[in-house]
Amino acid sequence: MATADPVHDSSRGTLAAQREHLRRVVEGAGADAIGPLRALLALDRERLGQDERARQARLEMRMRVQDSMERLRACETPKALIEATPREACLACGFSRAMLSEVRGSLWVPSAIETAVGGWHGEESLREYLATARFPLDHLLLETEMVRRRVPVLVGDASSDRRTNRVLVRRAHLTSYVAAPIMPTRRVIGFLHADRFGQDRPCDAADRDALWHFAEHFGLLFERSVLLETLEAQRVRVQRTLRGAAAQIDEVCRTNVTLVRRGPIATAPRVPRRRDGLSRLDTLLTPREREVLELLAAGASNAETAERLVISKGTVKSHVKRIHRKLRVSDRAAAVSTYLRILRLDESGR
Amino acid sequence: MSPVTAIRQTRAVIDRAMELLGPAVADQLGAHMSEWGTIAALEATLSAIIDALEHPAARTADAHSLVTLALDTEAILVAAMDRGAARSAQQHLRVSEGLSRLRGIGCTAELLDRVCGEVVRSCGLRRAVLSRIEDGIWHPWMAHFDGDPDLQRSFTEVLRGTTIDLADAPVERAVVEERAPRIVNDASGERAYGPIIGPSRSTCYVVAPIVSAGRVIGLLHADCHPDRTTVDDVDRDIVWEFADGFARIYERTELAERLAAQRHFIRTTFESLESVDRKSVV
Repeated sequence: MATADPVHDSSRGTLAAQREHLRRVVEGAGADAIGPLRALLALDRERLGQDERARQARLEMRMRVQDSMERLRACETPKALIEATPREACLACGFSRAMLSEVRGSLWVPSAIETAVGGWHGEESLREYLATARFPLDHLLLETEMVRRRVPVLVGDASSDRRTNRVLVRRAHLTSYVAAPIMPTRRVIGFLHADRFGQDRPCDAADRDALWHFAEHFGLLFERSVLLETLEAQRVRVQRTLRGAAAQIDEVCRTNVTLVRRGPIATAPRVPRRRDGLSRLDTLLTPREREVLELLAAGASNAETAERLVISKGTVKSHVKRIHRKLRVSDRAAAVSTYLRILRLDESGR
Repeated sequence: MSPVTAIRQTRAVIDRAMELLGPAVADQLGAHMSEWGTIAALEATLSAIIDALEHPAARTADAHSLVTLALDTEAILVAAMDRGAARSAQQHLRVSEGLSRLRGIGCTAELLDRVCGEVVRSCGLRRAVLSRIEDGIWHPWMAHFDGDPDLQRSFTEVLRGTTIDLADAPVERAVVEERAPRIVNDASGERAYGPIIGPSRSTCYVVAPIVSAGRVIGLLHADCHPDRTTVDDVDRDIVWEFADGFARIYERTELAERLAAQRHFIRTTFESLESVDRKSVV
């Protein structure tokens, strides 16, 4: 995860030059080599100390990230988790500001920010701006590159870097900042941005690696939180459906027989069995409609389906309408039930 | 430069120092080497050579050979520091890649089967053992010994059914209590748990905790037998980082499995309703 040594690259260059010089002095000094040799040893110890400090700092950062994750784990919903995350990123990695955003199709949307800068008046207006901001994932933008290459970035000078978002740089007074992709699986679902605004030093490579470390752990924690929520929602929905069905069955059984002429009981469409490996669904639905139906069957809402397939909610609605028409059903539950029936027919027909 | 060449060079320069500086210093340097590892031993050697140069009455070696040796030692010391920094950076990258391979696995059984192999592959070590920790009891579980399937087989036999009270294993107990990794550089010593470590023929190893919800649910032991006779802070941090990432991936995968099981249940419920329908038709 780390690349070159973060903090001490420049001072290391000086140390290396001093060392070369001292070695030459020792070589030419003969019996008087003791003084320069001592200096050489001191120099090497200085370098060792630097390496040790950098390593120690990395370790401490990782322990703080671990603590942060423990606190974040207590958040009961993904929404609460999102709200709490920027603050924890600041605590764990020492940033003064952090922003969590979501990748929504070809947009990048800020979802939560933390600013821990004393005496800064711009906070309110920045929050207001970010509450409604939507950034397109344009060509050549750093964020677009993060989605594609799945690696974090360090921006040294935001105002001269052409790959940054100009408006955001101006509004947030960005100078140097770091950003990391959030990708619990192989897909980037969001970003974390952070900086040291109001602190005495700019962001460096160690900050970038720290934020990435945080983002990797957060990504998995977030997915866990979403899974837990889905599991619970599915449980509630199944219980409700089954209870409803039970009540209806009771009702039907209790009803006395009367002489009433009812229309024929609606039956689901019978799709001819096929033996060519294609699903019966393929003869009925377009591939996109099938994708939509699969998501509905998995319990996704219209909004969730829109997000997963990167299409608008309106488009999902019109897909659903067409699916209802084609399957000759009137609601979602019936569509899902028909879908499951056809799947079973597929399996038994093969 | 290969690690073996580096170790040979270090040995050669320390042996030469021991020869030139006499038995008293030699003992000291030997102790440093086994206890603190290469860099500290080289640093102590350089310091001892300078001391000897300062006290001509107390030594037999001539100043010129000592200065030459000091420069050689210093060069090897700096090379070792460079290697340490590069190794650390490289290993972090490899751990990251290894974890992303594990993230692609959708099932916990496969995750468990592959984790030891992946520790070896991405942490630059040779052998790894996965254990469970349940109610203060240590259950060694799975092992992967790179390039030594015979020993792996006999060791796995030893593991089968072995359970250890953490009270009898001070190192592992400390790891569980502190939720932080440990290095053991003297595996034949008292602190290591002999009945497990003995059959593995390990001389030194690292132990890192697998933490979930603030609780240690497992341990990863790893070593570099037979390549190296010491493990260092870099190895420890790397294995820890791996264990940390693995814990979160495992947790997530386990939840995804539970969700899939629930969906499967819903589907079979619908299907059983369907079969009632079919029976009535037939």
